[in-house]
Amino acid sequence: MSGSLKLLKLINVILEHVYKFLGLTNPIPEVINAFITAAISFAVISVFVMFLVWMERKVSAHMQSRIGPNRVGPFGLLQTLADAIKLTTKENMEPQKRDKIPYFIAPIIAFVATFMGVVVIPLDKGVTIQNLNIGVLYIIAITSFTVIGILTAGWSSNNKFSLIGGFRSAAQIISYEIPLVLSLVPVIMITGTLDLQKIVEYQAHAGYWFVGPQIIGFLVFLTASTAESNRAPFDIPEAESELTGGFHTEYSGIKFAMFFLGEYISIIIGSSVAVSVFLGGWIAPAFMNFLPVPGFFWFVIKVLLVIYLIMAFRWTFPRLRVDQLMDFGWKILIPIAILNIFLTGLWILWFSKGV
Amino acid sequence: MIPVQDFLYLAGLIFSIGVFGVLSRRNAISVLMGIELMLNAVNINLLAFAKFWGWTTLNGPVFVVFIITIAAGEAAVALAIFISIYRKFKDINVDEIKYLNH
Amino acid sequence: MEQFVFWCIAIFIVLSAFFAMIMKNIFHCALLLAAALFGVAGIFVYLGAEFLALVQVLIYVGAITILIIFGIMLTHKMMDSKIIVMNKQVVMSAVITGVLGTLIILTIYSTAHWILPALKNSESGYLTHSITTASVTKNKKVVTDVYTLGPALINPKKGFAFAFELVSILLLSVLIGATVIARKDQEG
Repeated sequence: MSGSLKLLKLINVILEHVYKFLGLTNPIPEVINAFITAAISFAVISVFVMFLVWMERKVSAHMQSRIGPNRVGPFGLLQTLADAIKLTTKENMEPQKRDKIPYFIAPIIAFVATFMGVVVIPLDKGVTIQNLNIGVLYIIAITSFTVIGILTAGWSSNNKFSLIGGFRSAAQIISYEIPLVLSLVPVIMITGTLDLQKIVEYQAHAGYWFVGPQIIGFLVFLTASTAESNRAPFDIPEAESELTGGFHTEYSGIKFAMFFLGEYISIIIGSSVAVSVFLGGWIAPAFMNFLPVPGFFWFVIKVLLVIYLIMAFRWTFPRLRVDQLMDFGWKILIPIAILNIFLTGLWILWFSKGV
Repeated sequence: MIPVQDFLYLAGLIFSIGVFGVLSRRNAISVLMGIELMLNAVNINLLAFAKFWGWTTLNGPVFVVFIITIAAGEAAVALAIFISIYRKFKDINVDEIKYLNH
Repeated sequence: MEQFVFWCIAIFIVLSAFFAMIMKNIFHCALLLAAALFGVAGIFVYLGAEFLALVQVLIYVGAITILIIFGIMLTHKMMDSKIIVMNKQVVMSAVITGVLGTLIILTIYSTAHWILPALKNSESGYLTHSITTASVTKNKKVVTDVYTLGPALINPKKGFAFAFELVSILLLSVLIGATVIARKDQEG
């Protein structure tokens, strides 16, 4: 792909110019480079999240025959910005009997853990923030930190609604992490790699996307990642009719914004992994191959489609009860995922020569 | 390049801290935490020696995998036992639970 | 730089492990333990075992610490920190631990000098080939990633297939045993 944007190289070139301008001749220290890359990704992701919040409100409005936000900016696009300004300038209310240090670090853990997953997502051919040869495992491992943040928030708020919400949320995330991992295993068995970039390249070479042969895995992954990010119909942890606000009941202002941002980033990461593993990542669809657009474009389009699907779930399915949720995870999703692994193993054994 | 002794010093310190926790805490969950620390120190040692021998054998990393697996199983059973003890004694301090039957 | 970061991580681990063992509020102890275990994953990266580092994060931080926090929440009252956490033998155990730690460190210190002649030929301070086994395979580096660890685990001839099966059975019995023990409506 000739027109692919070499994001990191671009940043590097710009940085080198800045360095020369400042009169420094040494090569850029890796640490500074990493910090700047992190800052840029954070800015891009935040803007994207703002767009997603707007999109979520528009989608829900459309599904309920409303108009949605339309006052601030064109089509109400700046509504989220206004909300963000409101959130950050709000008074920061804290419960008096909170557990001070854990209360302070809980949103940071939850946010940083999800944000770190962005690092290995393949944006275009050869373009990742930092490619790891164990990328899939990295995302799964690093996002499991969120549970600690949530449990800490629930415990340190010193409020029974927060505690029960944190408990439910943690139980749900741990339970649904198992089908999430198991649904990725067949693809790893076929491609023989944990590198997300190589998984996408395998699909480019093979000429098909894994959503075809691994349709079961895709559906299980989509369900499990919806549950992982605590979204409806799996939003029992913050079911407002039962638990007021779940684990972030006692959080306000910027700390609440961090939980909120983390939740949306986890949706982005979930759908990016789904796109990279099952929907061919940055590969253009076969019938639109002639278009001179970079792979990054297709990647974003696919991610937005998956996110739209997840948003549509919210208004399509009723909320589950806690016991139904656990039954669904343990008695339906996990057996299906294990069966899928078994069938894929048989398929590899009989029909493909080697891995 | 960090010399192999540094890893061993670190592992020794972590192991000693774990032993201290196991010997001195009253709370059973704290004792479990101490055991986890000791297992981690052993893992560091195994990997440090595997690196010291130039990765010519995989015995060290494989043992680390087994230790991590068994530690997970051990934690699960231990916490199940603690919860069951808590239901009977309303307390999980190891120096107050003297009876195996109640 | 490498040394500096290593010692930063090491001090971080030792401090958080130490405070995890002496703090009064057990919930803080669990969080500090999670921090220490995460630091150990960092040390694994330094040792060149990235795969095991991620397994460490996934299982220790993502599963065991959360189990421990669950245990704490189910057996403690919220914000219950004014209790005696050490038992009667705290002084004795401090002495024993001090002696043990000194012994370990002295042993490593003396052994480090003893093995130095074996390392004279290597620049990095690590052996590049096995000096004890008969089949000397020089520069044959085994990378600890999935492609080598997987076969080593289940290879029936050279590998650890039997131990692997044993661990599987152990995990199954743990699953059943933990459920049976923690069940609420059990008899007597």
